[in-house]
Amino acid sequence: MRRFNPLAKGGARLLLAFFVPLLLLHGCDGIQEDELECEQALAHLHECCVKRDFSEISCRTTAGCGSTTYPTYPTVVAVCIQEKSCAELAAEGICDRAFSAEPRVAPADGGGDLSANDEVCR
Amino acid sequence: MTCKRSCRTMFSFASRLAILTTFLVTPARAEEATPERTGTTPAASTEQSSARSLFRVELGPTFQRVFRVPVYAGEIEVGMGPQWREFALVFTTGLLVGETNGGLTANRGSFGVNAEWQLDRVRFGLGFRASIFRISREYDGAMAAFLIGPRGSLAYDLYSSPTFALNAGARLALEANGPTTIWGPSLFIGARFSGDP
Repeated sequence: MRRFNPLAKGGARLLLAFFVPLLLLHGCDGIQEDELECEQALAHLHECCVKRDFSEISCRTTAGCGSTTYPTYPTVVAVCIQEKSCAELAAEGICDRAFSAEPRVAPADGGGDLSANDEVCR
Repeated sequence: MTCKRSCRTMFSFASRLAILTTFLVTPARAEEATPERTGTTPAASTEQSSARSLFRVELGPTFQRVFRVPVYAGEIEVGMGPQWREFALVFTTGLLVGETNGGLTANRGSFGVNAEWQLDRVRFGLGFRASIFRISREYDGAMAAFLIGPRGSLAYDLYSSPTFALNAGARLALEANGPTTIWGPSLFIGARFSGDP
């Protein structure tokens, strides 16, 4: 006599029934390295620069009509921010510059200054 | 956005493989139910071809690396499937909860298939896993990726009886989709239940 047999109860089918809708319903835009590093930097700034509200800073890459917006902090800058202590961020004026950073927008027809925020952290 | 096509392809592949493996398991059950059709005695049939059911739970800490960013997390994985003597085919589902070193919340829901071999007290596993990895943004929303990749595991039975085993082990997995690569080791303790021999 079998006392334990999860397969007899359709365990594998249950597994499929659970995950197939999950996969269908869930979007998958992917995880971009520059977005992740920017979000990490933003989390560090949020923790350290308590007098500033960074909620308006965008770390998303969005392709719109005629232009593409990239994460506000490029990867090099984002890594630099993460490596600074809270005291260094305040003392070197990085909190202020990071707060004032403009969105990085590249028009489709060329132009746009994607290196505008490179000086936020050195 | 950019990975929609590859996501669709991988999803299609994963679901077909899962459906195929599900139906591969079914004949073993049918065979058990009607041993007379094979011309063997019930006892011989049980010895030679019948699969025992296996159910296991594994739980432990894991370290994952997403690009350069480390993720510290806990993970639970549940598996079930047929087992023939020292070989088992285990369908797994798991959940990871943790955070990046910057404090962003990270989750992963996964499912996969693992082929496992038991050699005395040591259990080797090799398989693949498909998952959705999600990392929350600092202020709103989340980044998520559908990933697929190979995995290997090694476990040691600390205690074992014919129907139950308690083990400890390690697992290494790599998952990717386009430029997104996530990999890392996990440690676990696990409990494994088998149907009557």
